Amino acid sequence: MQPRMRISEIKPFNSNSIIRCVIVALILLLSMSALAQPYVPNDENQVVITLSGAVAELSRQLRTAESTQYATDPNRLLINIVNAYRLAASSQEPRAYGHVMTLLEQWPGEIEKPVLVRTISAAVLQHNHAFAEALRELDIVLAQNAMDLQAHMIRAQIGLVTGDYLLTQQSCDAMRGSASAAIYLNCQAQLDGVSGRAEPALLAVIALLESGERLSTSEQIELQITAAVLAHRLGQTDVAENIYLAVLVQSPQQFYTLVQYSNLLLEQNRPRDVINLLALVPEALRSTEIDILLAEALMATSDTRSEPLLESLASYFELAFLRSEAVPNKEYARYALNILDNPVAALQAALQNWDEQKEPSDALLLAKAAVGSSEQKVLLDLHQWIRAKGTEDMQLEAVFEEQGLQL
Amino acid sequence: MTNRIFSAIASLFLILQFPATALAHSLSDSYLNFEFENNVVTGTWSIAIQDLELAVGLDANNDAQITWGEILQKQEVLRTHLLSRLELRMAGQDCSTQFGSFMLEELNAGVFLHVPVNADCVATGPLQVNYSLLFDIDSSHRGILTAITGSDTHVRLFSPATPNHTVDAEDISLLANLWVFLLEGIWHIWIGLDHILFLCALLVPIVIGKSRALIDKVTTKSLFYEILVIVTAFTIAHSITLIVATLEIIVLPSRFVESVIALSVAVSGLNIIWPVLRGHMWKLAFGFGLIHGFGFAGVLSDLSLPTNLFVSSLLSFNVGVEIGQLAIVLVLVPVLLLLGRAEIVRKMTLIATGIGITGFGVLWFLERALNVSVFSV
Repeated sequence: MQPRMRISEIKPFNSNSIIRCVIVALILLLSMSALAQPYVPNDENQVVITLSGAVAELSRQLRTAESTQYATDPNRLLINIVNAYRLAASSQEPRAYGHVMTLLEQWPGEIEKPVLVRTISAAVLQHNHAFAEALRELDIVLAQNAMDLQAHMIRAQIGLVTGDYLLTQQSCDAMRGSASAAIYLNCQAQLDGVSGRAEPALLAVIALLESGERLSTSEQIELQITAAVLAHRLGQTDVAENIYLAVLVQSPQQFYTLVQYSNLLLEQNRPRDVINLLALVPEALRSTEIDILLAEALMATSDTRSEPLLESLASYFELAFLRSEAVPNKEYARYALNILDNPVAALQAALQNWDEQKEPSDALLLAKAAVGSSEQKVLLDLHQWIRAKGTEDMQLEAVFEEQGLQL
Repeated sequence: MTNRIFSAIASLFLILQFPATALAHSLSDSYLNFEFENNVVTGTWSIAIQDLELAVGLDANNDAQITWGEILQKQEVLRTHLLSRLELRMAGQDCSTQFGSFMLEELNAGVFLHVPVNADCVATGPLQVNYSLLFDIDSSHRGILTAITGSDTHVRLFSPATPNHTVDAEDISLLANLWVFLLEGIWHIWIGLDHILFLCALLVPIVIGKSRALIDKVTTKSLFYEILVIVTAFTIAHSITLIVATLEIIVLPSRFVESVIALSVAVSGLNIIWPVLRGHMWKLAFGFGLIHGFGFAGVLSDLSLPTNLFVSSLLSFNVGVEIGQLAIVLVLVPVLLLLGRAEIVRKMTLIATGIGITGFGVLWFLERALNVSVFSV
């Protein structure tokens, strides 16, 4: 007998989302059964999985801390929070982030949270896109030390992501005296890059890179990425490509650079270069965003390797919607727009993403989805927002110009 | 989710590698697929091997490779651990839960341990599931339950904030279902400006359509009676067509329905300025009420009525519409009575509402009938 759907099972949702959940669950059940039947390995020595470095390290941390009573040993808890955060931030393993959250929740209520705990808490909240909560933690940190560099860095980043450039400017200003020249300039250049001063920002970053000033490796790479992204947005694609490649030579798995460079290659209709670039990324480091870019490139070249990737992406989004929290709206918007060719679904996701994130790449996605689904009002509102902020982006400009709108 | 984080955050936290910026790995989820009938629960529980490594430590030789042998070595530890993290109760009494032979399955998110589950319960009734796998070490872990009972499928999400869920075959879901459709009914009339304006255009002539001298002679009882007749006529009419259309006995094209609804707003608006239908208002309410019912049915079809609770959902939605309508009347009539106190204000209100409502009706009619974009509601 065909199972019937039942409305209103999960309280916080409306009836439509619940129906969607049930449908997705049924699809998931079917796809789970279709993927593989359960089996028993013939050989006890058969390797079932190889753990990623992050999961192996997390497991080691958990075994070491197994008998620790945090309520009576907050110092041990602090050390474990720092260690767990280091692992999470370096690996981006969601389980590690989840563990940091669990540890943060165990901080004894009767003991005031140290600044470091609050800062890590803010960083985790920022990672989870809980920007308002992160800012509340940062406010407490900055009330104790108005010049706290770490707090200002996270705060500046949140301002850039949410389009609150005043917030970023305040934090960049605060860094001026306390951070290195590279860190301050990186902050200011990223802000200038989205607020009408991209050209001088690019020149300033390149000048610092070529000045011969001693920069740490991380500072140099960060400045290079900023320069490449600014050049890319300004349409100086040769400059951008050279710098992206220079970063990838030093740090071949620099995720952000891989994504940005792939975007540049796709914009230049060079899907084969994208395939060559992303095919080298190890499975453990692959992300949904990289999978979408790779799928777009494979589809553009009619490569049959796109099929398993598309199945995997479909399954990923089914699960993400079933989970119904931390829904990857930005990724889904791109997937719906470029792979499913469904601009209406893309627009819905892009709008939800826009409520949260307002970087130029978010704006570009929203603009393309609005054009694709003939939502002129959305496009006009976005155009007004971009003009007011002064964001320069050649791709965005081209989308607007096609619709008769000037930036 | 491609956000950059300043490298200095990393360096200050002594991180040696640049933070990547997206969820590069699968999230931690386990899947419970249960079927229950009477006092027996059967099904499976699929848990990622790497989650089990975190929970109990499978990698005996610490070589970062989990073999099937290492899983078998930890079999009893795993059984004990899993039993302590999944409690099943039926009708408030514990069920005796047993796990079958472990197997492996390869899902999109990786390799999972496939655990057959069987539970015998003492009593029959709602199934309560208490799930806490990994919540003590990973706040982002989730359990996703799909429970099938009879012909119904229920989905539940377990998180540290919601580790307990009850799955009830009938009662709870019926009540929740009625509640949802009741709210949908109320909500639909509140956000349906065309329905509100039509109702308003029906009430304005009754409450302030007469001259000041005549209003003074009207008793509260007779005014109440007049409003009751109009509202009842509208209610009966739209209830008839709501049911008829939802049961698909009569199906009208939505463009036609929406255009006539717009026309009803325009006509009733004109009737405020030139009250040619005075004394026949209930006929206007009934006649156009029929077409408004088709409009409500269109909304209801978008909500996908559950087949097993079809009639109750339909009635619940209709009751919701009536409650929403009554609330509008209760707000509107006192306001109109207040506006009708001074003759000049009364006249101005009549003219303003007449012109405004007619204008909206005409524009909507043009928009819907000619399929041009004037504005949308």
